[in-house]
Amino acid sequence: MFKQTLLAAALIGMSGVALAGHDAKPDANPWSNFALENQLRAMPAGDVTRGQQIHEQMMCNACHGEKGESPSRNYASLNGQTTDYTIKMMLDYRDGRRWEDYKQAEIMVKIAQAMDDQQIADVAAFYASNPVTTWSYSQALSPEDHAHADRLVRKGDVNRMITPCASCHGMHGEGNSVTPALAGQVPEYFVRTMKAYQGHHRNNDVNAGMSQFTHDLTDAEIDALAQYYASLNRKP
Amino acid sequence: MSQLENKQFDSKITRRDLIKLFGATAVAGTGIFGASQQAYAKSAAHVVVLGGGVGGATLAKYLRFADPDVKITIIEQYPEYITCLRSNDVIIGMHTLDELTFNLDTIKNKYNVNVVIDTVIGADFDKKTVRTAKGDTFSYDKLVVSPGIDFRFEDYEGYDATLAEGAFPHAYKAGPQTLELRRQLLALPQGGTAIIATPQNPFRCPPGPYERASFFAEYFKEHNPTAKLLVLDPKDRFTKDVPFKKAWERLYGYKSDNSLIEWVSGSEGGRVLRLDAKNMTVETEGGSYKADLINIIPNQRAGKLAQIIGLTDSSGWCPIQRDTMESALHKEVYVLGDSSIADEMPKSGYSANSQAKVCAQAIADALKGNAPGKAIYSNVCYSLAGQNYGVSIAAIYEVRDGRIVAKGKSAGVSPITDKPAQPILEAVYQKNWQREFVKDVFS
Amino acid sequence: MKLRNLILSAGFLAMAQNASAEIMASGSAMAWQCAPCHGTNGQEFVEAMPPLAGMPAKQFIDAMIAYREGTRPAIIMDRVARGFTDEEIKAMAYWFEKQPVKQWENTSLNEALEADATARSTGGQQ
Repeated sequence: MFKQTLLAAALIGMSGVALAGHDAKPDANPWSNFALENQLRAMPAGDVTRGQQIHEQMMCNACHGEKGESPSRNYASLNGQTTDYTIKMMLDYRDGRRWEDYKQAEIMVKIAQAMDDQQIADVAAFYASNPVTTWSYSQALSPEDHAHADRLVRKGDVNRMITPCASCHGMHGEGNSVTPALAGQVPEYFVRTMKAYQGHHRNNDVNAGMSQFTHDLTDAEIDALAQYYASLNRKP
Repeated sequence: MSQLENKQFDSKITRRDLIKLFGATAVAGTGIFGASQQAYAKSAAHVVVLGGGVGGATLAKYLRFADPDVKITIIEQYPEYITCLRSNDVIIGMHTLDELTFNLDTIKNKYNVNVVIDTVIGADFDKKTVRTAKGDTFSYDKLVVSPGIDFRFEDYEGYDATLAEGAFPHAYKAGPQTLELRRQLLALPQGGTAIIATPQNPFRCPPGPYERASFFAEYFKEHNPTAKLLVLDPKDRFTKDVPFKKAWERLYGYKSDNSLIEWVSGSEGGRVLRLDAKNMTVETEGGSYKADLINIIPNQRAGKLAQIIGLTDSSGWCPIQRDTMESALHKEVYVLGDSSIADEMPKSGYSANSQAKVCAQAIADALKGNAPGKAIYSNVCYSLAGQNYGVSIAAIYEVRDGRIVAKGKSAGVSPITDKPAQPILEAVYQKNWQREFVKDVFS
Repeated sequence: MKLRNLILSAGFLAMAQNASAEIMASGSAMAWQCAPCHGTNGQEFVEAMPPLAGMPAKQFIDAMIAYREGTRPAIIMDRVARGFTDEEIKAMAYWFEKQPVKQWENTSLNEALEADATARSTGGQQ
């Protein structure tokens, strides 16, 4: 019954988009801190068990793995992600805030448009309930590169005004509310994301913070940070 | 790899060499090397490709991968090519014809292919030459023919090519007819009736008529909810019929009293016998139907060129050697795509692209005196049963007992699941595939 | 390929190599078949479908076997993967691993030919 309802709801939900010609970007204002906080507070409470069902029914598992651990370099890992961040991403996809390259975003836009707030809260709860894993195909950094990445994470770089990543993302890459967890993230996805922020292709972050933080990072530093976080074993 | 660099324009090549390579009139008539400014070693073999559509363009590109030295000439009738694939989208305004229009510039420049815009009117398989309408003659070592399809208007009393160009477009080759069909769909009176008559097997793009039917129904649902579509079919089954019909049930009330689509099968008398253009009526084996819009997609056979130069058998299609795509009737002549008899492979753009790759490697091997490697083919067709509802069919193929058949347990259509994401994702994949596919062919 | 010709024209080693070629298409021939969705030589990096060029062979093999065995849900790749044996999957994996990690449109013909030659000489090919 649950499944049939979900299917019917999804198909009805999608029919409004039909015959609009080319997929038009939905119109959504950028988040203010205040608006985002209110929206997150207004979301229903998520349920892990229902979240797992939706994860399978919406075929999230095809790209993001059985419990959110991506098996592909192309897609993000979601296990251990904060609920607020997952919710925010789904809302951003649904409402057109995350549209940096529609060719790549289209799958998530369409899936998000077929889901309601409760379903989004449920999958977010499911991913948050699954422990972080390390990326299976991560490559070992040289001791120097590791030390450099570790310094950027913990201390930043005062000379270039680079904020320490850990000040928002946590000492173990565990994330905090709408600031995402990074530990165990797929490195190719990490690099793509950082470059999208850097190049202003992705701008769904509040106050464009990430485009400022990534502005002065070199490609080599982004690569090193990607491998650093991919293999980071978060301590409890 | 430096072989190519070493083949940069060699000023020592003489006019006589060129004549030997390409034929006298060709040298006089057209700039042989086009924009590529590429000449070839005198000893290099010459592969002439007739048709610059999906099969021909893919062949040229991948033959360059397989053999950096071979001379390649494509002779194509039109300077621009409109893909049939996704042309149903144009009917409902999801794409424009411009977005489906491609040319051979990248093939010519990036892959050092000589492109000639001309019409081939004859071939001499003994002398290994082809003749064109402009009066040029091209000699070849290997000839590849990828001529698409032709229509059997004679199967329908009262229907012909002239009517198709006018008020009764089949719109089964993308172009002006596609736009005319769109105009007719938009002009359909409220509560009107449309007919799509589908062809007998085998035909180009087996899901095409049913995707078109789905689009009509989706359009009706939104803009003309009391209209009806009648699909008249000479067959009792069609490709992906199970997922298509499930989609019609879910989206268009199929099988209910208010269904936007009615499908009349062959055993229910769906085969069209006659068009009465004046009275807007089609006669079928089961009775006659009056409609406001009549779209007959005719039965088909191999492209005219294949018929003219003698590559077809009594079936109207071109028999081939399954492991190389070489014609079973003439040596050193290869037939790609819709015109070829490829057993379990459907007549799709994907199949033509797949066959072109096998053929390219086989030609390169043959020119080097090597036996052909094991052939592997594939086909993936995504169709839309609605703009956010995709259905697909996929298979890998191999040659077994002289036939092209599904390999392993690869063949299958979209499963019917209760997962709402399945059709949504298939629709997204379809768009990805379209963008990627034309790039693999033309760039 | 006729067995008689093989024996006439080649020594034992060559025969063994060609015999294995006879039952399996080459890595490049199989990899070419993936291009309509994953880009020429797997070099499509901006679409939602995963690029295959430069993918670590193990990742490719793991994914294809998981699709084939039904342990990873899929829209279409399960149906595709069921057409390939372990050895064929490996041959494709080794070939793709050697392809440049860059968009096809920015890749020259010579780069592609070099990558192909490298893959053919080091991958699971004769």
